[in-house]
Amino acid sequence: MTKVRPFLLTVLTGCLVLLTASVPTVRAQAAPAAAGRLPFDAVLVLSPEFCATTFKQGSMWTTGGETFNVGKMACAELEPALKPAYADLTVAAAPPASVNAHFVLIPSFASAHATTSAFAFSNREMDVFLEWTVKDPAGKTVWLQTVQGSSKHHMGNMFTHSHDVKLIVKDSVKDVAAQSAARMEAAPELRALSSQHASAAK
Amino acid sequence: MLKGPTIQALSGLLLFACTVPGYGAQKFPDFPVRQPGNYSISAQQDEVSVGLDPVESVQDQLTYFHTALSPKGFLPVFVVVHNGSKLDSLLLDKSGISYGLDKEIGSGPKENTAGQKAAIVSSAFIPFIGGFISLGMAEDASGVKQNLILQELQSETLSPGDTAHGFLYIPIPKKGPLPKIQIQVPIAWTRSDKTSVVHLDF
Repeated sequence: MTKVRPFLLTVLTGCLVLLTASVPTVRAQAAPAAAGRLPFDAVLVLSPEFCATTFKQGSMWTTGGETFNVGKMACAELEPALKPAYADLTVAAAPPASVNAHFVLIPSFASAHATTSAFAFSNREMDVFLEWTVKDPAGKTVWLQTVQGSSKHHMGNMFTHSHDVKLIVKDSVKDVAAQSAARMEAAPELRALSSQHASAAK
Repeated sequence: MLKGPTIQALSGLLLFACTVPGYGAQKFPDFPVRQPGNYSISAQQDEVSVGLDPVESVQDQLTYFHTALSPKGFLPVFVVVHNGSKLDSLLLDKSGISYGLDKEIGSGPKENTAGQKAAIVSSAFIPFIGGFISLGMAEDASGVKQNLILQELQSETLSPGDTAHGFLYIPIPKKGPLPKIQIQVPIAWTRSDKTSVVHLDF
């Protein structure tokens, strides 16, 4: 037994080192340096279809199906994240018929994916890709950008799995919302438009 | 008191725990990025240039994606888009990129009739790979699927002098020779109402 314990200890230590080294790194987009809020009013369009967006992966017959309710989470997280980026931000369920000198921000999910892991306490990664279309008051698309948000969480066991899925969706969407605000604030195209807009308003 | 077989079983379990999560952390080499003009397939329209590098070899697909995509009905094509304008930004809308397959080449020996033009018999928008991942690639590791999504070309705004790159996954026949493929990349310019369409064949 005295020879067995050091052997087990060595295997365990080796495992911990390997597990630590193999924790996947999240490849989130680097947030650009913020350049202050954009000096114009904007309408954020959160349509019922967008808020109902889900991504499904896996199979009920093999690995177990999973549903990620990214739209519901995005409709809760986008407004507070984007509000500080604009002089004024209002939310609408559909693009306004009359833009009234407002810029219109339309999000849509391009794709999403979550890795799977074999054990409940192993980390998994989730990436969500949100595509932004920004239209000027004349209705012309002036900015198009796909923003990536990522997070890591435990896989969870059969009792905690659905809670862990909610957590990884929430953190991925929070990340993509924060990255979106930073990308908009730093976009030279939106900066140039805001100065044109300000001089036209004078 | 632990006995020999118990110790062996425990060691085996610990080693298994070490190796299984390692699959989720596999490393994928970066695909080399060059200026569009340095690719054998490239075209320029107005001030935008596009270069293509189709990854036709299954060995190369295994190197960069850890899965053979051609037998699953997809050809990965690396795309580089460069905005050569000094003043104007461009909008690269991934959902507007379309492809066509020349059925004559894919269906057998081509007859060289005088004046015959290569007939592009089908044309469609290039789908996002995420929608196919749960269908055709169910057996691949989740890290492989994640890498396919992370490497995909995304919609974005390119400021003057900027370059974007990523993969398009073009649906192709699973068997038979590779048909001739035509790709159209539409570009919208932000300052003017001008649109450029870049055509590439291979």
